[in-house]
This record gives sequence, structure tokens and C-alpha cells, in this order.
Amino acid sequence: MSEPRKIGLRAAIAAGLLVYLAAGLAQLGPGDGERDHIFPFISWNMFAYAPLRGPYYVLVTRNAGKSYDPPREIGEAVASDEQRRIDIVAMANTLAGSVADGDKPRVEAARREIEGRVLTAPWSYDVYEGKNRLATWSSR
Amino acid sequence: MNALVRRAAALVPEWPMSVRVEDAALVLRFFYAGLLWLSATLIYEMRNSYRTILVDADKAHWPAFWVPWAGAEKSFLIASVALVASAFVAALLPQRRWARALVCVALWEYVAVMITIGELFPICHQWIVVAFIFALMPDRFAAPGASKESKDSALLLFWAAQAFFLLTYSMAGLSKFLTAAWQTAHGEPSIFTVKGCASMAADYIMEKGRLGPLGMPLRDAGLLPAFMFAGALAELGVLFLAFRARLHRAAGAAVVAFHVGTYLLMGIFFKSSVLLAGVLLLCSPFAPRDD
Repeated sequence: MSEPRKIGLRAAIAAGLLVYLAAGLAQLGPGDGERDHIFPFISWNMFAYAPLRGPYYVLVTRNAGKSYDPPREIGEAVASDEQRRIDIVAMANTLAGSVADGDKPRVEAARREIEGRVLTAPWSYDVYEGKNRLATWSSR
Repeated sequence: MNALVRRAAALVPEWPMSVRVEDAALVLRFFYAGLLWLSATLIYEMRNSYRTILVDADKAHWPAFWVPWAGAEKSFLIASVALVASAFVAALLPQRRWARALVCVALWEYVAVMITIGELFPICHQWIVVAFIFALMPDRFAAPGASKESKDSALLLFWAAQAFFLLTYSMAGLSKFLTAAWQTAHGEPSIFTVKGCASMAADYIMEKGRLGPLGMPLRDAGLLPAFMFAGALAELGVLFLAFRARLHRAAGAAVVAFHVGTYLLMGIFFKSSVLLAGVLLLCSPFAPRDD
């Protein structure tokens, strides 16, 4: 291979790597991991964990006034050892997502599921997305 | 301009004269044989992963513009069979450029169809990038009588495929650090904090019902952020191993270890990437020969 051609090919490869990197950086931000990628070469963040969306804050409080636990973000709640609390968090997050989506049938279904399957005592819920309270309910 | 080109060219490493283009050709055959196995298994694994609802024409990705007319099931079968057939031909004739180009188009089409009728479909994206670069390699570059020019081009492009493969990991690592910095600046937990890891664990539990076998114990011990940090750091740095031929096998081993670790922690496994790491890096023609 002639020297200029060799240099040209090497430079093209180096430029390609940099362009790929730059195009990937341009995609950083909300929406990553979804269908809005520049299709399909630049699906660069395939191994990036989805950005922590929300986060949905779900406060679970006892009606009697005593809190079951201090109000928690879902992350803290799920970090505990109790499988039951994980279940609460999973279902409450479904509830919060449904509220955020304005999906009333799903909200009711998720709420019934929490009341029926997880909670054995009366509870009230405050559902937050970020710092905005989306809803408050009493279970009974 | 000329100086800029020379500077860019200098980024691409030189390798010893002992590197044989025949070895690269053999690895190329492994690549297409691996793709043949992957595409054949995907027919079975993905058979229920597409939506059966009709796809709006304006929602189809452009390479899959025909999907709304063919329907999800037929589109899946057409794209799958085309990929298997093209991989089979390329595994038989890996040095023929037209066969490699055919695979590139079939793979592109397959992913476009799967994203259109299903969800984000990341498992073939690295294969697309590598298949595209391999399609640029000269025709019959390792045949008897092939010119030195075509041999040199082939080796350069093979290295480029390795570098692009590793770049996807470095970019993923970079995105983790940038996202974590953004989240920290906005008062949100990042994946390098106990709280952020717990949120992510909750997300995975809700989506898949479980973490990997070591995920829960490490989460409870508060060690998950340390592993996340180590993994992201390894991803970020792995590209640099591409520039050291004697470390290519180490790079392959690191990528495989990363994926095994991801499975143990998060319960997700990218077998296609492990296969690709094995073919491209553990079998790297630039690595020192062990004979």
C-alpha cells in the first residue's frame, strides 16, 4: 500500500472513531435507551443503564398516624431486607407510573393490588413524581 | 490539513510484520459462522417478542418501510431467514466482499424490523458495526496473489472493527460517568450511590422479577455501587487495550468478565457480545502467537 493511501485509510479510521463518539455524546440526555436513537449504527449506549427516571417518590404512611417507616424514596425502601417491602415498592411504583400517565383504570387496578395483596392494615398513600405530589389516597 | 490527517493517522497503531492476513481471514470465517449460530437461535428466541398489532407506516424505521404492509409475523420471518441465509453464505465465502455486504444489509434490515415491530433491540448493534467495517475489506484479500495493498487494507480494517467494538463499551462507561455527574449536580441519586443502586435494583426487580445471583447480597451489603463504579471504569478504559496488540486477548477476557459480572449482579446476559469478544479479541490476529 502506498504511503499516502495508508495514511488516508488510517486517518479515516481515526476520524470514524471520533465521529462515532461525538454522535453518541450528542444523544446523551432524556430519552436514551428508547426508540429515538439515530438508527441504527449509533446505538452507542446499549450497555448504559437506563437513567434513573423520575424518580417516583412513594410515601407509604399508616392511617393511625404512626408511620410504617419514615417516608422513603423507593430506592431506600427496596434496599431493606424485607421482601414484603420490595413488593410494596414494586406495586406502588406501578401506581405512581399510572398516575403520572393519567391511566385511571390502571391506577385503580394497581391500588386494589396494593391493598389486597400487600397491605394488611389501613394505609394512606402520597404519590410523588420528583417533588410534585400527584395524588393522596386513604386505603379504607 | 495535511498535518491533521497525519496526526489522525498516527492514532492507529502499527503492528509487527509477523501478523498474517490469513489469520484475519480465518477469524472472519469465525465471525460469520458465529453470526449464523446467533441468527438461527434468534428465530426461536425472538419468535414471540414482536407486537402483533399493525404498525403505522409513519412509525416504521426507514429500512423497514415495508413492514406495515407485510405485517409483524411475516416481517419477522422474512428478516430472520434473510439473515440466516446471508450469514451462511458469508461463512462459506468470507473473503468475498459481496457476501459480506449482503450480511451487512441483512443485519441492518433485521434490526430495523425488530425495532419497528418490537422493542429496542440492542443485541445485534455491535454486530452491525463490525459487519459494516468487514464489508469494506477488499475482495479476496488473503487469496494467493493478493496485493500487499489489499492485505494492508484488510488488516487495518480488521483493527478498526476491533476498535469500534471496544469503543461501544468505552462510550457506555463514559455515559455512566456523565449521567452520574448530571444526576449528582441535580440532587438525584446516581448509580454510584447506595440509593441509586437500590432504585436501579427496584427497576430491574419490577421489570424482570429478580436480580442476578449476587445482586441481592451485594445490594444488602451496600457493595453494589463499588462494583458499578469498577465496571464503568473498566468499560471506559477498555478501548485503550485496542492500541496494544499484546493486550488484545486481555481485552477480550475483560469484556467476557464484564458480561459475566453483569449477569451475576443484574441477571442480564448479552451472549452475542460475549461471542463477538471471543471472536474478535480472544482470536485477534494481532495478538502474539502462542506457538
